[in-house]
Amino acid sequence: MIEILATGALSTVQDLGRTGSLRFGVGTSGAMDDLALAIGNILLGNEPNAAAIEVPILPFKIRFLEATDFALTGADCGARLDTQEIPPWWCLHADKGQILTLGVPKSDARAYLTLAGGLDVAEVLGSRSTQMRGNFGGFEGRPLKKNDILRTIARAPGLTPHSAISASGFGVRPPAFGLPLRAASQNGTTTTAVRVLPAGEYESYTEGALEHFWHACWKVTPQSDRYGYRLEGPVLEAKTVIEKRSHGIVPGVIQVPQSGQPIIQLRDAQPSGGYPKIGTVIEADIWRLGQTRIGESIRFLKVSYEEAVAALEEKQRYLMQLRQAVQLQRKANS
Amino acid sequence: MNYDELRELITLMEASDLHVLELRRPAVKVRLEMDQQMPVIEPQSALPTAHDKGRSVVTAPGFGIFSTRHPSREETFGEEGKQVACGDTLGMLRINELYMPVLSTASGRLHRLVEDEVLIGYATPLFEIVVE
Repeated sequence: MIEILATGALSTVQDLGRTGSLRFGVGTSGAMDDLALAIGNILLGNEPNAAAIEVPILPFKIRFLEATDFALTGADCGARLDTQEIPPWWCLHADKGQILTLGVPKSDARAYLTLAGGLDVAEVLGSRSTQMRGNFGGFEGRPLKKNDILRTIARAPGLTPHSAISASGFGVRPPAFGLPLRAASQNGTTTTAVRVLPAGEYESYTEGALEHFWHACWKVTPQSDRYGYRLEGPVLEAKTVIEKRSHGIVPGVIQVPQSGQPIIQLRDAQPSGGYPKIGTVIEADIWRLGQTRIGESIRFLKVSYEEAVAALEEKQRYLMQLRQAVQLQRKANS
Repeated sequence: MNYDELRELITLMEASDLHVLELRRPAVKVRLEMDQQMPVIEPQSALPTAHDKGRSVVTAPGFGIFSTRHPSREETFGEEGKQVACGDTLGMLRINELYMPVLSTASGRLHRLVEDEVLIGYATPLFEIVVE
């Protein structure tokens, strides 16, 4: 059980998302960086889909109202447990009354606080994620506020009788190192890259537009959030005016409105839209967008469907190996 | 210790290029050794004891690749000459994708004994702390 002492706007309870309800007009929600959430749960021996707190705006401060293990993944926020410094991507044990403070991150966009057992909020349509459009799911269907008290799911008796984390904790190497993907930037450095499948209206764009699409560095504008990222770069021109009826879309779809500046739909996107689709960020890479900050640039790398599936398998293999290694470490401490 | 756990250990060794892995639990002791030879810095036979004549030696709590810097940070934990307090994080040991902390055993001025990115064995001296 924890008490929120301070939070910026839009800290929400998220799990891996509410899949399977798009046909009812209910978007997926879920963690913007699903890999960080998954790793937090692995560190604590939680169920893979246990809910955690996504913290996009810092600082953030909580008090532990009972002793528990916790993990911090995602953005490195210079976190402290009372005065003890906590390294990034780390799990630790907190005693009752201790205070956890997350500061402003130097890089990356979102931190994830995971608690042993996972957060105890009601499942709605199979998920504990906060649905911001419908104001349901998560904690009372809304972002967290000061003085909110959140409980964790009690573990089955005997499952984890005591902490499986040593006093100083342990951590994992950030996945940006285990699953690296960068592309050349215009100023000679590298920038975040995401792999993209051409989508329905891809062939409707001019050769020049497609050249720009694959080779430009696309800047994430301030009009970007969990709903979607509006990008800024060269104007993408279609061969003719494209008019579509609204149709189903999923997180990752890259739409091009009449301005020619693309929008990547993300976790809180509405489940339908009518803008033409030039591509789709593959499922395996959406977490990279979740950690891209406003003002940073991204590149699109073209892949085939087979390569997209292979990327997803690589991500699952990475998590499986991580789970095995963490299980060994937890056994050694328990 | 069952077959699946042994297999996990072997997978971990292969993934990390580890030559020797020794695991001790209350009722179990397992030592696994890979065929190929790999240079490992062996621990010194006579380790200085903690707080020996105004100094304390911090030794490796396990095996792994040692570093004084977390990969996502520019600053180092345990810089040469830094004033540290008992319990401070001085560095990390990486085993495959896992990180184990190396903590200060005393308060004082830090002297490094091992370079970064070196594979070290259990109990290898990593730092000397001059207690002031």
